[in-house]
Amino acid sequence: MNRLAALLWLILVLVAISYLSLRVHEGLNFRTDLMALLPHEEQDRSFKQADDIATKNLSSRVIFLIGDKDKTTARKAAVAFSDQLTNSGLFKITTDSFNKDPFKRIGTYYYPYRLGLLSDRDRALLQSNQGQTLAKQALAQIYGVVGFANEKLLHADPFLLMPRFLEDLPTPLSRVTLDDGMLSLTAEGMTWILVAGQIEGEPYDLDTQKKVSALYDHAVQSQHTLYPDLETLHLGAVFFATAGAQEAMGETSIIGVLSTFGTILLVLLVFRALRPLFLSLLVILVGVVSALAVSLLIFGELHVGALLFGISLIGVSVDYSLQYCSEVFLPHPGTPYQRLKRVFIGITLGATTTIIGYLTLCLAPFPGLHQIAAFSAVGLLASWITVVLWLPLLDQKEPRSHGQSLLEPMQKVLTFWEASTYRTQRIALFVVSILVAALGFWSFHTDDNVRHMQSLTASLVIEQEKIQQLTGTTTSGQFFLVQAADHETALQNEETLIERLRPLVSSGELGGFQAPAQYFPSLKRQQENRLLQQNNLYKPFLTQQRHQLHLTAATVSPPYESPFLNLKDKSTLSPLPAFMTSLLLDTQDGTVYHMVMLDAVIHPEVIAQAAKDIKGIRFVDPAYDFSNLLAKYRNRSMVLLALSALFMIPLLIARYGIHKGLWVMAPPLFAVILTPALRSLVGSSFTFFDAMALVLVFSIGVDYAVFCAETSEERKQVTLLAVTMAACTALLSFGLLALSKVTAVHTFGATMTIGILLSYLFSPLARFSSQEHAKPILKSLFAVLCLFLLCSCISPPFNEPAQNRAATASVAVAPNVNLTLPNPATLNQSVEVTQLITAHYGDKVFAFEAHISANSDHFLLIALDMMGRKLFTLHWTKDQILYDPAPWVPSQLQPENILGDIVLLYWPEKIVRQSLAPSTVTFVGNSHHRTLFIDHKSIWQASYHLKNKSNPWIGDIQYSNQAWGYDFKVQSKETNP
Amino acid sequence: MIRLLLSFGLFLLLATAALADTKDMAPILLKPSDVLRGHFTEERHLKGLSAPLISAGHFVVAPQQGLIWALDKPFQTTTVMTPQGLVQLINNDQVTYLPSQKMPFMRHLYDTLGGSLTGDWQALTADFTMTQKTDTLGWQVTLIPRTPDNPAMPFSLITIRGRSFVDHVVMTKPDGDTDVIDFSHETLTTAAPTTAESRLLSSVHP
Repeated sequence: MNRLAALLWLILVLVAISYLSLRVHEGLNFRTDLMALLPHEEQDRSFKQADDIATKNLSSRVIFLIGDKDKTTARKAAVAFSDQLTNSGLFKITTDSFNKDPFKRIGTYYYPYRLGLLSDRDRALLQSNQGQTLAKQALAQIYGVVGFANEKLLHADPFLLMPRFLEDLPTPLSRVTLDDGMLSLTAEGMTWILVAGQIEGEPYDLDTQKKVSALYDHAVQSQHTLYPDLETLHLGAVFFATAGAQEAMGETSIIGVLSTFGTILLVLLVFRALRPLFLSLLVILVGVVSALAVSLLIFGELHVGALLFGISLIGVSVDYSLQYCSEVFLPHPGTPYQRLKRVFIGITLGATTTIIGYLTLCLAPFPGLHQIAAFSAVGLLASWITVVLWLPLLDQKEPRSHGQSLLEPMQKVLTFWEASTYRTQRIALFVVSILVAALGFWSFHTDDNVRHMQSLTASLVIEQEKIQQLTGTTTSGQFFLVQAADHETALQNEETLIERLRPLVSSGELGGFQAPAQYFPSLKRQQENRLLQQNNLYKPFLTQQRHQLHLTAATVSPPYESPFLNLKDKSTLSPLPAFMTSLLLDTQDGTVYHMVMLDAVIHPEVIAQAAKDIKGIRFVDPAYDFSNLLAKYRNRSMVLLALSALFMIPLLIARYGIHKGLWVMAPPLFAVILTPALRSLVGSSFTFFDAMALVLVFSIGVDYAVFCAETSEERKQVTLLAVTMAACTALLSFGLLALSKVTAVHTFGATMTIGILLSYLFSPLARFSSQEHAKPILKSLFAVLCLFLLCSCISPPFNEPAQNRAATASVAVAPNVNLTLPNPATLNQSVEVTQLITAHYGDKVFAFEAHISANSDHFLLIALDMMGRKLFTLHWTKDQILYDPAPWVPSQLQPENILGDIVLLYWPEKIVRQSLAPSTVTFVGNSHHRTLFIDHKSIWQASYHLKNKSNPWIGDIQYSNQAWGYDFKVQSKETNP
Repeated sequence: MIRLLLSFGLFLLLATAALADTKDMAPILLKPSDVLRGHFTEERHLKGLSAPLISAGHFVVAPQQGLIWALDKPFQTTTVMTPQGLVQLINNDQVTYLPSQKMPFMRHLYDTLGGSLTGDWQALTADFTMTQKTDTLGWQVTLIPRTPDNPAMPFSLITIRGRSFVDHVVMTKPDGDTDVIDFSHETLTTAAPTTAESRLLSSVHP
């Protein structure tokens, strides 16, 4: 009978193996993205779909910076690099039309629609009947320093409406300028060329990742061989994902190898024979093979995460063969079948409870967890069957004589738990445990922030920061998703949203935004603009304007049949740069989708409010949403834990009766309670992954408790030996996960390690059922358990910690370096100076005069251009900053930035340090130099050539800001000495 | 820039205008081969600053070639204007270049300038209403812009005094700031511009 069953099992296993070989032959693909593990629930399907489109769009983006000290080299390399990428078919580069001037292309695109295009400022002016002001501003600009008007343009557009519209278009990469056909920027003596685009294919597909990374490496390599000093930077979700996948795969193999090796060593050491090793390996192998085969059959594909856990399966499935094999150490072990009979109930009960524990995971709607649960449950079941059916047949063990040396330490452990001499110590242990638990819960805190769980490859993060610093991107990952039946509705809804977002930008809640409606006004708006232009501007002021500009009176009456800009035909958008068109997502099922990108969001809740009551617009914060999800599932896991305990109870009660049945659960429960307490004592937060680990700790702990409960007085040492080995192998599997660089995996491993150790420690308790021991301990345990469940379940929903808002008078001297403007009186000096300043930015030069008059009440700066015209007046007092610029001064020039530089240059060192205080920047100064360092790298430096060392205001200063890429030469003299 | 040009336009215009009433204070006519040189001091009274900003320098005017306005105190800056456009240098490094083809009004102004050199001051009256008077100190001309709101016209009032040459110009800006320029040591020669001056004049090109 047994042989028949064994044979049947053999057939099944062979079937599994052949299926597996078939799959391997066809090519096994493992999914690597966190996305696949995300639960499919709650949201509106259509929004979910749109979310996916938007997210895929964002994750497909790639940015490269090619840099060299020599501009020509950088440009040549960038072109070659870009060509290589495009020709491979894997990339779609959108910055590739180097022949045609993108600004010209944008201008050409918009020109036919100009009658309906107005910048927001012009629109506001015309709406409030200030056409005259607009006309004057245009004149001022035409006569301004940066004259860009030419006769032809003025004829067609004497009010400069088109240039002003184009100027106002938001550009996400603020530091990148167009230089002779290429998007470039200069910093620290290097010229960087921007190459940007998207990958073709799924960014989270392993195959795509491999190809993309290989191509990038190859392209970089070929450029490097030609130009050895070239520097390249890259940024894109696909690169992070590839690095992450590689790390995960690497770790899987290492952990797998170490774990197997450790197990082998352990078994050999204990049994000093090969057969138990062989038997254990067989059990593990059959378990893994069956698990793989069945999982692939059910799911079609497996996630790498599930595979990682599958490897850890080794730790658990070997428990059963060890239980069986250890029987060999008894003085009279008997026949193989007799040994099996003794452990049968133990391993069956153990396997069942553990499988219950794993299957409870299926209750969570995480597809990834379903895979893990199925994989592990099937594997365990297969291992159990193997132990029961095959092991006795294959085992011909004689009793081992070295058993005594192994059993003695076991007895010592048992004595601690049994002998009355150790009663005080046992009570002391309990008291200490409860104290630890209490202390731990005192400092207990949860952390669901998904960003804390990611471990992004350090080198990629450095490149990302450098790219962001150089280009000036500050995308925060949040956006609005706009959904509508057609483009016009979407655009009109966006226009409403924009009205609400603007005040948020002024108040600093939002750094900026890019919405399609800013680039492509709705038809409704274009019609309004046309009327405004005709009635409030052309009719009253056109003749006068032309006269002022001395334009020959060729009457150019605007054609009333000129077209409206619309998005119906997407092919017309092809000459436009990617940052404008990428906000328009592909239409799905007749629904139009747009994205509104956001920069530098401080309080997401505040920004989300802007979309309230606007149909079809939704605020999306992927990280926040996911963190929220993690919080939810952290709480649910604790419920799962309770549920799995509940499911196990009937089984245990059936076997042991109520009291002992419940008592058997005490050691694992104890472990589950103490583990998070211990972890929080060392400062770790409780996360979703800790919760998942606890579910497994409980299942495994029940295994150990059941083994101990099943044993008899004669066999107790042997059982304990087996349990000890089981704990060791479990530690080898899960404990090694704690070495992982991936935070989530590490957390899981750490909790598992502590949990397993504690379970093991307390498992001998399961042997005792006398109520005298049980009751008081049970009571206190129950109390602590309640406390614990309370803490973890009622933890607050995920709250993004409020970030510090910079004070209003705060200046970004460099990325992430903020200077808080001090009270101007802290200068402690009266100043009357005249300065001549030459500013260099890239290859542009601008000179101007600054006249400064300062005393304890105020700081006054009047800037004049080289023609003597006033640029701006800046009046700084302790209460406010009054800034009055000439109409043609670019809006990018902000008074705070000017004052920031002035403070750094002239203010007493002590005050400067205070102003820089919260930033992690080092300020070094003496009478000749002042420098700002971040991580030992200089980002701002000034050299002084002064008449009098103690007065920085008279003499020459040369200073440069490497972070923003500009330098100034200041000649300063006393006004009218 | 306009200020400079206008002041020179006036300068030269009035140098050619025949104020026949006062023969002994008749301004001197400029011939195409003449080169006019002199010194100036400028006082700028800016709202908010208690004391005026004082600067000084020298100038060179060569009809049909252009003009050089060089500041010596407090800083060394030079502005060169020719029919091709305008160039500015700080310590002999070029910091600004404005070609006249980019600025339609510059052509207009240069035409005005050219016109006034040949005695046609119709061009000036197109932009200003002129009133003149003479007294024992010399002649005085007041110019009031016809289109005071035009941003290209940064003055609300210009007053000029002189005898043979222009001596004193006061320019009032719409926001209340005033510029006062005093000219001195003016000399008229037929010698060509010096090499340094010629170099500056020919440096105005793209």
